[in-house]
Amino acid sequence: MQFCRLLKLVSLCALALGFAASAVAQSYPSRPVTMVVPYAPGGGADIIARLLADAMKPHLGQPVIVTNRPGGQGTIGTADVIQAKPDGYTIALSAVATLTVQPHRQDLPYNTPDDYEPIIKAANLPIMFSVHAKTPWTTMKEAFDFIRANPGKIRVGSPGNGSMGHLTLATLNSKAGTRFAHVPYLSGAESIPSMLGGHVEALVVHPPEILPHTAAGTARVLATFEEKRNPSYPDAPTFRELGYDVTLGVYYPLIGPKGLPKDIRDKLYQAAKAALADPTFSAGVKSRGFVLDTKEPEAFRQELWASYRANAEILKELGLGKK
Amino acid sequence: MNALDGILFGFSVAFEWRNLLACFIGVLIGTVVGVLPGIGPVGAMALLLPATYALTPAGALIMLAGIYYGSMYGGSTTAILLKVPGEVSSVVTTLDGYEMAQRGRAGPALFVAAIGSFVAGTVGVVGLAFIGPLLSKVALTFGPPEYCALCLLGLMVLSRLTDSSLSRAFVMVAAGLALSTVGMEPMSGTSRFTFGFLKMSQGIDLVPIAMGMFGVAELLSMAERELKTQAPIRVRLRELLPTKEDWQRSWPPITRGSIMGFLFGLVPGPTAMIATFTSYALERKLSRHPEQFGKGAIEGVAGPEAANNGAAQGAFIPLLTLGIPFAPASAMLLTALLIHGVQTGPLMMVNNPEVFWGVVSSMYVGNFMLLVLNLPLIGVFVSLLRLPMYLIASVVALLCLVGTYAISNSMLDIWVLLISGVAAYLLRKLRFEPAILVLALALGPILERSFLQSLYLVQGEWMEIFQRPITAGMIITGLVVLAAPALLRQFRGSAAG
Repeated sequence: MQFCRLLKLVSLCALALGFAASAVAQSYPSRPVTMVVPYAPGGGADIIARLLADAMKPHLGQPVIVTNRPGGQGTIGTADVIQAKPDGYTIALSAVATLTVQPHRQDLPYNTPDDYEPIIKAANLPIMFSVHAKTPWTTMKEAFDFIRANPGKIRVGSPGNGSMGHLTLATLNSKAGTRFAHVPYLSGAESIPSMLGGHVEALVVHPPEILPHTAAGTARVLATFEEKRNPSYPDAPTFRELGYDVTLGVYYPLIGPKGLPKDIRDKLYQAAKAALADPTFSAGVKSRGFVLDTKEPEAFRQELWASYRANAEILKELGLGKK
Repeated sequence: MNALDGILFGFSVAFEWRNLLACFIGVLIGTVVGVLPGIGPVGAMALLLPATYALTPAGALIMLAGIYYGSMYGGSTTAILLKVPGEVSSVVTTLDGYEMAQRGRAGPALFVAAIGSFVAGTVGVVGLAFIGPLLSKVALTFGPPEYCALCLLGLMVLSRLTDSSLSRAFVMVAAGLALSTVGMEPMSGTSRFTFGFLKMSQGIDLVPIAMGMFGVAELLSMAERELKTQAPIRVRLRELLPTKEDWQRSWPPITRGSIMGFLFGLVPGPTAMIATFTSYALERKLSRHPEQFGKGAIEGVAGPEAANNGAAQGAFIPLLTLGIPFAPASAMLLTALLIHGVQTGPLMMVNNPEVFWGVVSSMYVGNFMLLVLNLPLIGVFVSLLRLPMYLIASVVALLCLVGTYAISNSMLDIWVLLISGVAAYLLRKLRFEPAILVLALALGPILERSFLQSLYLVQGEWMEIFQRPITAGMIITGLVVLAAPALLRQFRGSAAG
């Protein structure tokens, strides 16, 4: 009996040593996977991460634990994960601005999309132009007419300096020749009460944050920065329809540290893809205003590169890049 | 549905056995989390969120809310017994709570803190149910200029917090504000004073500083005192309970603290903390024995503890009536609601009345559970003080080190803890009050951010900031607080002469 157990142990050790490389991938995942959200609880990334983590569990065979590690506009938690051991047990649900805007603004442990491994594109989150219900503007055209006659007299809150919302507003100002005044907040959630209280007249904001207030009739969405009209706001035109080609949005990449083995990355990709296709998951995500847009790892890396280059241009034009 | 119907309906939800159990688990975990410094309610809620997937949305929120307000009860325990404030809002409690414990009156201090928390919790729930929606509109009138003025008012009150001279207090305020500039500049995102540590770009974490400046600094003074051997404090059972005089001195501060805390809680930012030290300053001003403050005045425990809990309840109002989270803990609750598919926002009261009223009513139940849970524990906690000094000192060291490391598994935080401990020890020798520094450090980031946002808002028109009525009112109040003692002296001097 004793001998038997010893034999088992020895053979296990041999197996572990001898086939370490392949054994890791075959047995992956043998323990829970940590999904770092580099932002505070309650925001877009946090919600999508928690829903995704829950839906990935049955496909991965191990729980996925969401940990919030906020700070430095997402760069701190993201850098932690990028520098973590590439064993597939530490991944991050980051956001496009953290990965493709921040590296142009400060020195970080990561720079280009080649410095980490994209696993999957989780979802898009559109940006919309919204005003307080008590403001006189019912269409975007009226808002444009007003701002042209009174430059700087519509103050627009954004989720932060260097956020996609800010870049979008600045691009609109430069393409339309308008001067909407920009007021940066720390997050979309923080900008909402400021508009409801009448401290700013308008917001560049995401659907999960503004939906409850448009439903209650305290805010209006005038136009969106999407390619097609948003199903939640069929009456709001896109800016492209209005003649200003500004289609920017936020998306949420699931990423791993650089050097993540291909087979582990594929396992994570397959589990996440299956989770994204799950009908309850997709219904839940869509009802909150996210737009599902799945991309496989390498095609997604190309999209990240495109954003990386485009944002560099925008920042340069706005004078917001590294000094 | 009017408030009374709503509450009755809420009780029918709260008294379902599953929800009752959820409430109990929530407040129990909250108590544990509150007593142990380091891991705060937000961390505990994040960890337990997946465990609520099996519950109904109302049950989930009842449990998570229980963790939040439950942790407010326990928060004062280590502050009173060991001078280790587990979070910034119990920094003020250490001032007199620990002094009471040193004089063998830990029992009454803990007792009054628990009762104060209970009263404030109940006042908060009643306010939430009856005037919540109304108050949420008031909360919205606070924009960046108002937060900025509130922080300025806070700093002015802060410099009158203890009886240290105004110039010494200003030095501490300035040092706290200076430290708060470490990290990312909130508007441009430029990193400042990080010395190459990426982690420093999120600023200096408050909890290591608070634990270092109190817990570690106290260890150093203990080591100093230990040389002159000290008899352990003996506490008899009779001394566990507050005396009649204690009650008479505690009621008014508890009442004032509850209401003030509740109103402060409506407004975003570190308002629970501002409420605690404003309450302390107010009680010191109103007391007939201001000289006892800082030497174990029971009012200095009763008021701030009530204010702290009142603010925790007040913070539920913007969350439940508007779907707006003003504090990290309420952001966590909002996430829970979203995950459970509840449409938050102004319509939640109409569309999901079982969540709104269920949570409100469960808070009555939860506050009662907390009182029953906490009172018997006081005896246990106080008996810990009978341990010899070297054991207590080890416990303090362990709590500080483990608690700090648990926040974000960072060695950098440990260094911050140790350095601030030594710094506070030296500051105390020089008769500077470290509490002022810690609280100023907590206010700094909000002050800076709201000031910059205000400048964006007014687009360079400075005077607009001061023309806003609330802003002007708060700044004038602050100046009065600052100048009052000098003016009074002048007045009395001329009257006598």
